[in-house]
Amino acid sequence: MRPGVDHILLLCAQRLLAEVAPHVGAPYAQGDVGAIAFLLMFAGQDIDRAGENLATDIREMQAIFASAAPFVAPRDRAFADALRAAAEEPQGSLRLSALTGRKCDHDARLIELHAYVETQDGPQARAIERAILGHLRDSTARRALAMPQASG
Amino acid sequence: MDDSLAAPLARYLADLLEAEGGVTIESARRIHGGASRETYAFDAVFLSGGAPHRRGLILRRDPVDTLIDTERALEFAAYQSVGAAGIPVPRAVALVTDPSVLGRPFFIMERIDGGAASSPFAKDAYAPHAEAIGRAFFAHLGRIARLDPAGTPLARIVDVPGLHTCWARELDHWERVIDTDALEPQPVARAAIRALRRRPPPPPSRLAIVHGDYRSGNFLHDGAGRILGVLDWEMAHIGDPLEDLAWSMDPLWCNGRPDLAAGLLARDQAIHLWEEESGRTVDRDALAWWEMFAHLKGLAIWISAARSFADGKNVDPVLAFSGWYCQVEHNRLIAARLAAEAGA
Repeated sequence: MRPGVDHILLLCAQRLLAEVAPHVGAPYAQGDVGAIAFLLMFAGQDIDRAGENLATDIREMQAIFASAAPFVAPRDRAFADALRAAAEEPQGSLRLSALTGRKCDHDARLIELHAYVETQDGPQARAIERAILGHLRDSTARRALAMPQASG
Repeated sequence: MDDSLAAPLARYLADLLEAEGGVTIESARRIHGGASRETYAFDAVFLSGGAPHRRGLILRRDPVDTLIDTERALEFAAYQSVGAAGIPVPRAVALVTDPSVLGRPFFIMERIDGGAASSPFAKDAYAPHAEAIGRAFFAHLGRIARLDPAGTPLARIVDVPGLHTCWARELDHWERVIDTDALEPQPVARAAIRALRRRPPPPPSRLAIVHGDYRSGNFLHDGAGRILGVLDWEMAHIGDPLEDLAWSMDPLWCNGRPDLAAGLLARDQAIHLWEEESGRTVDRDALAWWEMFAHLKGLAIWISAARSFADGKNVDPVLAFSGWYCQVEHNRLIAARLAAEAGA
């Protein structure tokens, strides 16, 4: 679609800030208009990348689960099986809601795995820990939002 | 402010101010900002002793969904505690915990005129007086840390922790907030909580009054380099003063200048000023613990904001902004820090 949704949201936000907010009488409502404009800008930044970010998160976590399962297996067979199953889960729907649901499931499993390896000794445990933290660092960095310049 | 609030407020003030013939509320306006509280500025106009009076006042009232009267009492006590010690704060006028007066507990304080609060997200919001503001900002924070909380109004209404339990009490509190309000799994927050518990900070040499939200945006300045009032004491408590120092330097509110503490001063200069005014020495390892804690506490607050917005309890767009932008930023800051510490 042209113009893209990101473009539409950005232009609407700019219009709210430049043309609408100055004509809103009550200061509190004016502040609301500014906050809503910022939210539209954030949505404009996120809309193009949201699906890819979620799919990348899921792929990275599945790779961590696959590599961690052999380490976990001798200590906790059931947990290792759950990790393998999660690692092999098919992609499924690409709707954002479906991707978000799968990411949440994997996040819960990742928390469990992370807490588990922190209690284990040895270089393999540390390597899994570093992989998890590297994933969290990259995943959160991918979601960074550019802050529109607010007035002082 | 509609008449359903202005009328009972005027009736209440007529008694409080011993007005002859009642009080008129003029120039009332709701102040934008922290959506968790309703804050109104207004003038109370009245006759007393036969003479006309106009007093600039602030009304702070809890919103409907957080009917916890101790929060108003806590903030009121904090203003009383530090105001008496010379920290620039609005003078506390009255606290009313009886919800029949204005529907919910509230308090009244004097309005500080001639000042403005700047957005913590606006780049160079304090230029060209950033250094002067920065010196005052960290000096006031040091003076707050110097105060002995014993015997203050605040100490009479909050739990006073032991020196060795300050950190655990705060971490327990914010972990509970995340447990209660998180809408989805929080792998970054959980990792931070475990990391903080593995390496507790050393205790402070003595307890202090902690503002709880001391940062850019929560003070009034005169546009010429002077801080007129330190505001928003609703999270005040007694604990380790490094909590405030770390929070004040969190990169989220650095006005687009992450190279500077609070976007105002070089980090070492800020810490040095704080040490001079507080009479304390900063343990850098302890400060590092409290900086990670500050990220986590922020994250917990934004998680709560997102929950309130999603549940429809409070659909102020500021909560959506906090629940989105601020949550993304604190997740990012924590994850980067944890990864760096682990060599990832």
